[in-house]
Amino acid sequence: MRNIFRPSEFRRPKDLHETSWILSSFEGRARVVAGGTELLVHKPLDVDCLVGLSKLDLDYIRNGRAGITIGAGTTLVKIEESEALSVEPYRILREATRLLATPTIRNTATIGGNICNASPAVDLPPALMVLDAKVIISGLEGTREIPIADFFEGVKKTVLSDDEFMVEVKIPAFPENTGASFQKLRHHQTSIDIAIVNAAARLSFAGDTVKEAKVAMGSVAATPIYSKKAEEILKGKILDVDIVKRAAEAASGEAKPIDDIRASAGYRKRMVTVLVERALEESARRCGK
Amino acid sequence: MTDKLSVVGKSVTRFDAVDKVTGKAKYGIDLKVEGMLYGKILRSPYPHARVIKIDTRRAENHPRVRAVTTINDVPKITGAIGHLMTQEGRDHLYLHDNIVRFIGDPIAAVAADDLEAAQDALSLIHVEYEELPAVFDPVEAMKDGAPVIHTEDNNIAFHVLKEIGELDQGLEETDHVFEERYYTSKQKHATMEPTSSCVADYSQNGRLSVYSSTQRPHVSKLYLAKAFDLPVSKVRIIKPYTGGAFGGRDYLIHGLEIMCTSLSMKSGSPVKISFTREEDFIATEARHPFIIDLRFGVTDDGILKAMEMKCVMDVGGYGAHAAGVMTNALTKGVLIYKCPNITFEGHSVYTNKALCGAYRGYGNPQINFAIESLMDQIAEKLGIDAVELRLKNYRGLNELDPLSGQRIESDGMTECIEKAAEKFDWIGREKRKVANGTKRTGTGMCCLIHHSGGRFAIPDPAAATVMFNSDGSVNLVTAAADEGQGNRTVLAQIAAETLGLDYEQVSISSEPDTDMTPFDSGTHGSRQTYAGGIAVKRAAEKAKDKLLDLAAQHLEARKDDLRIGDGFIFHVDNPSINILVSDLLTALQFEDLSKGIQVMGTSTGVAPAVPTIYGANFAEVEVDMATGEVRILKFVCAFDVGKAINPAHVEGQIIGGEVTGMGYALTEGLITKDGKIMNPNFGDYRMLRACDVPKIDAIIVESPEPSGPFGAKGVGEATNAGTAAVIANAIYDAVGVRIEDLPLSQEKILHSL
Repeated sequence: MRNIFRPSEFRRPKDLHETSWILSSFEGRARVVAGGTELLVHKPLDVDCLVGLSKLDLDYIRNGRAGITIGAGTTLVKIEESEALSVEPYRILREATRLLATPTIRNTATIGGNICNASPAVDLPPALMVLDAKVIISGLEGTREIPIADFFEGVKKTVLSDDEFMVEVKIPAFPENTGASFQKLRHHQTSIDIAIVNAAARLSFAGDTVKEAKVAMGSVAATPIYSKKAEEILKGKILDVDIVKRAAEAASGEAKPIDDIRASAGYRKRMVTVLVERALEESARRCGK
Repeated sequence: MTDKLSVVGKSVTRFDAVDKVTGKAKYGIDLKVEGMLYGKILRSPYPHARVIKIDTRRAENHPRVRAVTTINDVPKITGAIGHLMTQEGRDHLYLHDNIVRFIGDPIAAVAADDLEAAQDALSLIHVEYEELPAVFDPVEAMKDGAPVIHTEDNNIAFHVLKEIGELDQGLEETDHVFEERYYTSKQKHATMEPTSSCVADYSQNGRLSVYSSTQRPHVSKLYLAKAFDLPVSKVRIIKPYTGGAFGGRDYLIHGLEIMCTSLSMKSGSPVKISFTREEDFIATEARHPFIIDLRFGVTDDGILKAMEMKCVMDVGGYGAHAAGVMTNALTKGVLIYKCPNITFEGHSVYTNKALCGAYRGYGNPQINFAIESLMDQIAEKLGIDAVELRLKNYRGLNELDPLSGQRIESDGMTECIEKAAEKFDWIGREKRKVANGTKRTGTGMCCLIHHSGGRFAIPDPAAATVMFNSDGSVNLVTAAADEGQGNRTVLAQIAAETLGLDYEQVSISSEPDTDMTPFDSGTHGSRQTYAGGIAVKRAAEKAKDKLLDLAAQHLEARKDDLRIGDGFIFHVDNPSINILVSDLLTALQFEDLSKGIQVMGTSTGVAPAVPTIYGANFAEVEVDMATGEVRILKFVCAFDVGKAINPAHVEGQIIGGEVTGMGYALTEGLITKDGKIMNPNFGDYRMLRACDVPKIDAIIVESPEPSGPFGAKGVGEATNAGTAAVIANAIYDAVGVRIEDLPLSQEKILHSL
């Protein structure tokens, strides 16, 4: 095997089917390239063909009655500046984006790339998870739609098969009285850093009671995960300091982080408690609770 | 010095500013030479191994490969050239045998028509290794029975014991004894331009030309001449613009110039090797990690009576600066406070880890972190204000330096501390303290010293030539290497001021070339403004003297009565006796056919002293008790530089240095696991970027150094020496925990709370 990154082909298919056909014809040795901020930095050796999706018109944010759809090729800067995403609870996408990488990278990196890269420390998926987002995947046999949490199978692993690629992210509409929050912990003083831990929360209230709660966290397992126990603790309750604390501790209990050069597992577990607590408090504050 | 200064003390625009900001300036990494090949280095995957066999045949048969070289082909340098050596008299060891001593140690190199082919060919080289037991911990490496990394019977690269007064007696006479152990991290220079790029060209006239971003062109020339057994005159070093050095380009780069030259000799073509960022991280020098044990004895009223300092320094697989850095930690540790009884013992120890070497501060950030942390502890325990404790103890004006025997001639410490304390509002610090949710604020201070040049430790010559042109303008010739700090601009200012010329009338080439410039020991140890400046001033004075001699003859006046100003030489009492400088020079050089004189002056020699640079830092931080995160809210520092020849440059040096100090304190450090560097990239090696750094108030204090040019001393190396200590002290004030282990990561802080 050669020891340098040297794809021999660059293709720009005109439609979804052609894209899948090219991808499948290379049997795993073709890679979709969007912003290129991951692929062209890591330069994987096993790539023979790069497939650019710029002709597929996947760069859009649409606001409809059923919610919001975002094309997989939408750049992060577009999300960061989107009017449609400036309202509760969607605005956590803008906030998570702003905490991600540098302006230069956000100008070219895309939401599809951020998701498909399947890094355990990735920022947008926990935010999308609490917003109940689904991803639309296109392949030789047509398209399929799956909840974003089910998209990830492991570190750098997704459900995509050789012929498949992501085309869209769909976020539903939410009732009034919904608030969300995204929290990211970096190393001190640094404004550009991968998350040591991140966490997102969404609370929908009926009166003073929590009707629905979602808590997700990243950098604490092979994939971003939900904290089901936190959600159970919160659901149907009137929030107080104690419940928030219990939920945060439950989330920490479900986190399965590892020791690595960025932080120890023990520190990460403690930080899940802090971040989830802050996310829940902010979510509640954002709908006036 | 009572004369009014017109160029010195002004923030003139550096001569290379436009080329640099427009991207025209060519750095090492940009170099292209006609017919140039591209080289790549094959590196050891093992931390310690014997290379049994290197099979390069398949690489040599690659159609685009022009030469292959290995550690068996390149010369082995084991001699010392005129600077501090290891205990056994050995110097830097460049590729000296068939043992590899760290992961990344060079084994072979190829030169090919293009970079891809060179990279391809590396995978065709087959190396047979015999793995050897490795040792990574310097304390383990000192023990009997530890794997021996070099040829002697232990891993001690350098040992020093310095005793001043009677430590035991001093400890007995004190009221309090304080003891603590400190650990420091392995910080990388991480220059904007990766450390290593060079083009070696042995294709013409039997001469070796090397384009290399070295801090010491003339010293590199000596090494390469010796390595390749060439007359020194046959080696030429040309230094392109350099994107930062900070000590990382001191001497040769491990494997770079030697491998590159060997490839050029074999291929008959110029060869370029540029390290990738990852290679820069894993295979070039970094700041030595220290383990420091301190034991200080103090009286009730805070007078230091005894200081014991024991240092173990991890030098990595090779002994680069094993003696120099330890010795510098010694001088800073011994000289900062006027304690009568001091013992300093240092062991520099080999391990099978990546290289360590010179990095801005050169042992001082390590020892200062320890000393100034402990001083803070002493101040608190004795109930003495931290500022007062420093003022009571520091070694100031007219004190004897017990190491060099010289007296301290300039001292701005009190002014540094007082000015910075006032700007910082040290007095009002308690009132500013905030506890908000999980956030707590706190303040701290520290002081520091450094020195200008290495006159008493290493041969440290400087030289300059000043040449008048017939129009009255001047060319300044010096080998002073400018890595971006602007020292060549500063030297031109010194020449202009000395000659009574405008700054614009003095020209200096962008970068030195050893064929064109006399020997200079290089840019290191905060020496160029001071030592280089003295050489330039002397050369300019000689040229001026010569010009006035000739003018006196021409005007039939006494030399002492003549002055230079506004382009004229005139009689001080009768200005109508005058001549345009350009007319005189033209006459001397061209019109008077019997003369043909170019007026010029040259100076070679050393600076008379190593003046002390003083500094003080004050910081205010906010610590999040829930996460351990630290944010620096306010930072004020003052440095006594003698005289700021170019205040904007001095400020730039201070701010740049403090920023790297903040990284050293909080986030930076190479992480090594079984000898492998785990964070060789900017994602995982966290430097503070411009947007991460608080406003830094930099105060320039000028306590003129009598021996310095216009009173100047150095500044660069002092600027990051105290940053870790001041931040550690402020964190302690905020949350009551003292982390004695750099970096002060949020995890360590949270863990201690």
